[in-house]
Amino acid sequence: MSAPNTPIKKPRPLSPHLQVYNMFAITSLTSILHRITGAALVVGSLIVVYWLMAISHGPEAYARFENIAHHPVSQFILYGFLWAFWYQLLNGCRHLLWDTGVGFKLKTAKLTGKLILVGSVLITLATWCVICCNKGAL
Amino acid sequence: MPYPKPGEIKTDLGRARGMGSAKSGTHHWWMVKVTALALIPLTLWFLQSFLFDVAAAGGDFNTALEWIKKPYHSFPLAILLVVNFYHAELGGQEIILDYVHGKAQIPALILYKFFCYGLAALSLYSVLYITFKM
Repeated sequence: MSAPNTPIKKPRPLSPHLQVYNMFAITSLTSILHRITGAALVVGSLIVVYWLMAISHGPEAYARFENIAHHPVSQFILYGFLWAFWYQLLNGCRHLLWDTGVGFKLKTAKLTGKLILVGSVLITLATWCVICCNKGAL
Repeated sequence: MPYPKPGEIKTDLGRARGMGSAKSGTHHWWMVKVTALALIPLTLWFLQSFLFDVAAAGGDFNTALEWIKKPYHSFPLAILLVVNFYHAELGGQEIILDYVHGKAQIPALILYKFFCYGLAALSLYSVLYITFKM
């Protein structure tokens, strides 16, 4: 019996490194954007946590939250998170469909990639229109 | 696993060493997919309800407070928060494994877990506090 403390030297499979890809091919662009928007949304969910904490601390804390949220820079960031949300949702659905074997042909994947890139921007603009029509602040 | 030749018989531990984990390899991937599926209706509900019921009504303190206090808002909101941070934990773990190497990797993974579970607990506590104590 071989000694259990001699590790097998077979190299383990690794993820291919980023630089081997052409980052502007539609398939790799949508892939890296999924990761970037995912990471951004983790940061973005801190805003929801802050919103909840502000409510639980009472009207004064909530007023401080509103002051920050209504600042033009905050509004810009919030719409950025809104786009990241729509992008992640659309591309996430694309991934879930791929998992069932649907739309995995390269031609289809390129087409749906373009559709979600354009679609996420259009839906973000549509959401912005809804917010403006309701005269509500995000 | 091919039938071992004489002299190649190993213990389970000997065979597994250096080969990574066994048996639960697809659990992470599967839970990413399950939480992703759950987040589709949950996030869409939150966005539309927040925009039409909170923001459109002025988004002031009392509107937000009364919105959360409704059981049919606080309950899905609590589920959304838990599933969201579970999904964030799984996704962030993949990013750390890809980009953080060496001695920093395990501390980074642990800190990120603390971060996600902490936020889940904090936001869940806030929802419960607002619902039952305000």
